Amino acid sequence: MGKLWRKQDYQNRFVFDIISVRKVNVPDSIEIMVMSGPYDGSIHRLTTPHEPSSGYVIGRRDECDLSFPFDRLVSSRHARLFKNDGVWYLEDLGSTNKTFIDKRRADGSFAGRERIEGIHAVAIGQLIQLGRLWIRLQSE
Amino acid sequence: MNSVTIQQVMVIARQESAELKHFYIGVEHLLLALTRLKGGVTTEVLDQRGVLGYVLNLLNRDMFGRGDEQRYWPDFRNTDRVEKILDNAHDLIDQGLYPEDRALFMAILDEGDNLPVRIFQELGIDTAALRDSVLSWTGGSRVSAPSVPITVEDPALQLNGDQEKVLREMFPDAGLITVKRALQDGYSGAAVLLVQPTRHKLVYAPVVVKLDDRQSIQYEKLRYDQWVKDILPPTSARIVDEPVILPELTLGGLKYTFVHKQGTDAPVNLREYAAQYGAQNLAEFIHTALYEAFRPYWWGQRQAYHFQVWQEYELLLPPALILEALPLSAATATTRTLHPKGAWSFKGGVPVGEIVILEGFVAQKVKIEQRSLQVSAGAQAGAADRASRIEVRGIDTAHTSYFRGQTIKRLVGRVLRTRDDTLQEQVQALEPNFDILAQALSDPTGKLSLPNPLLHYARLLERWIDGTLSPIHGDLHTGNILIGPAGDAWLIDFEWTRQGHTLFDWAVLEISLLAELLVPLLEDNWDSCWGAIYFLHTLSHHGSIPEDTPSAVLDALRAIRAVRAVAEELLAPNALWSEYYIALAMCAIRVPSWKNRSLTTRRFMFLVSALSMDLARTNNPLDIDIDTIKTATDLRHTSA
Repeated sequence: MGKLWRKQDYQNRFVFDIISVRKVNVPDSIEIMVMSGPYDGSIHRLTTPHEPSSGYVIGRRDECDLSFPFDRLVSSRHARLFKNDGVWYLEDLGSTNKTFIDKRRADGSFAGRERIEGIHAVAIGQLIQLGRLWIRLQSE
Repeated sequence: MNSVTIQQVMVIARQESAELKHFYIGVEHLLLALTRLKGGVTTEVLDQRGVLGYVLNLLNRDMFGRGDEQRYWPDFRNTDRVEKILDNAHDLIDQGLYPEDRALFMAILDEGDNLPVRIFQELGIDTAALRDSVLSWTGGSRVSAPSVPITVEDPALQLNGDQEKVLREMFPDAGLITVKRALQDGYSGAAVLLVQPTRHKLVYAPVVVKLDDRQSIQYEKLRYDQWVKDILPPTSARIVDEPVILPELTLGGLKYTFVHKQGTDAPVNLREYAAQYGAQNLAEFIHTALYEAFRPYWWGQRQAYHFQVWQEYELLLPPALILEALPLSAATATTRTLHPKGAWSFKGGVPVGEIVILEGFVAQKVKIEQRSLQVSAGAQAGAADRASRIEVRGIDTAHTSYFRGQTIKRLVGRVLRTRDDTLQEQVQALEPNFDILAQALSDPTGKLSLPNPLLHYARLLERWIDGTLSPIHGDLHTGNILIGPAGDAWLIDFEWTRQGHTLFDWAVLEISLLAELLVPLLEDNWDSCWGAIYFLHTLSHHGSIPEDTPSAVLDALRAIRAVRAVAEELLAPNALWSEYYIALAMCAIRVPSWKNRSLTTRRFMFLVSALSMDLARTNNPLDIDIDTIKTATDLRHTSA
């Protein structure tokens, strides 16, 4: 079952998407903390995706749900973050400088960084690096 | 104590960030700044573990990439995390964690969530152990911020360590301080420099900086606030910043800010201007940019003022007496007591060898090394308060401390020298070819006979003048007049600014212009000086200059004529030129005491003083046949 969802594209024209009803009614909200760069320490709560079909898009462009226009190492559409069946997933959208996650052992010590290819499940508290910029999933 | 403040660390962090074109201050910049400190705790504890290099490498890897010229946010902001860390660091300082760089590093470790700490974790550094090392660190007082480089462009100019220290303090956030050149010769001991600070690779407009004795600097700011601030034309210099005074130095610094277009040329001083644009333009400048622009606020505000010459001009003369300090018990019942502003100071009559008591004088200058003290009549800015000056030598600086402005109840001393002695000694040093105690000085051809200033100055001090009083600059010599890029007059050095005799500034300026423009044309002998006196005599009596005058002399006299034209406008309504010539005589007679001026300058000025006294004696209003002056005269007659 689908529904026409009206939204604005980046040229401010109204376009229509067919998306699932469940996602429209209950947008999954997530809080993200910027962990480096000029906005280090600031917190962004994402509540309504611009393109509900793809979740929250993170990138350099203004149209992204979370945008970092000042960092040239972040791609225009770098990665997307979405929730499915109670689990958050991160997908690299073919970015130039890639997406990494910071891996930790059980005791919290550093266990290397891993490049994300395809869709990857991420937990709350996970540090994510887009290009050089670090962000962290803060809380739901 | 050698220590570092958080503010200094922030300044370095700011520079680090600017170098990278980041234009914000993040925790990474704080860490970079901390590692730049000499002997700081951060470098030391990381070095102990052998990881400093790795930390900097990884910081470089994870740091926000090198920025571009485009700015995405206004100003140079601290990130939210830095604000939080700074708050914590200040708390730690309040709890007694010193020095401040240690508290800052501690706050970074405590915050635990920032990029540097994540890098420590990535390198496998135990942050808890790192905290302990920081806490137990004991190298506190050795830490210091790296000093900002100062480059001096003029090879003839040399700065001493104190001057550099004050300069660094004056431009705390500069990455480089360039001293372009000196704007004044430094005859007075003060240095006036054209300084260009560079910050985040941006070159700022040059600033005029004055470095001088801290007391003078503080007095100047005081005078500026009191007299100058509200009466400056819009294009002139302003003292916006508080003077920089360092507790450990006797030197202080003052910054003059000018309102002018960014990127335009630096100001030049009057001498450079004359050399560059010629005398005609200089004369024009004096009348228009200097006189017309400042008149409404300064000399134009004049009011009638009936005064005795000493009240306004005694301050230019050597001390009335030089005393050798004696214990208070040396005074007996018959000992004469001198009070400030007494007739003794301008009439003389206190012989060498007499013991006198000074009562109620105010300390002006205290020279601890020389154990000498200068006292005068009062503590206020007016010239009369600088009268009755006495120098007391051999004071007991070990047990008594004197400070400027302090009223000294009672001093006892024996007269070593009187003003007459001092002046005669100064003239003797000019190698005179005449009897210095003769009534008159005659020129080699016998055409001119002028009164001997040494014998006539005292009577001149007693003369009453019907003059005018207005705000005056107080030291308007050529070094204190800068010319801005648009041809505006920028005045600096307000240490002597006060309510005073309106013509004072112009007499000072004429003497200074003569020294700058006419004296260099003279030869090193008395005859040559007399030759120049003729020209001045002719100018004063006829207002015009003979046509066969050499062109260089003509140029110099044009500037003098411009000053005289202004003086004519500013004469009191009864218009006796003696008002100006007395001022001129007094300004000239002090020049022989300037040991660092050339012999020719000092000789010539002694004769200028004699000529001015002669002109003052004749006391006639003059018919000066110059168009500009005529207009001024006509205006005055119609208004009177």
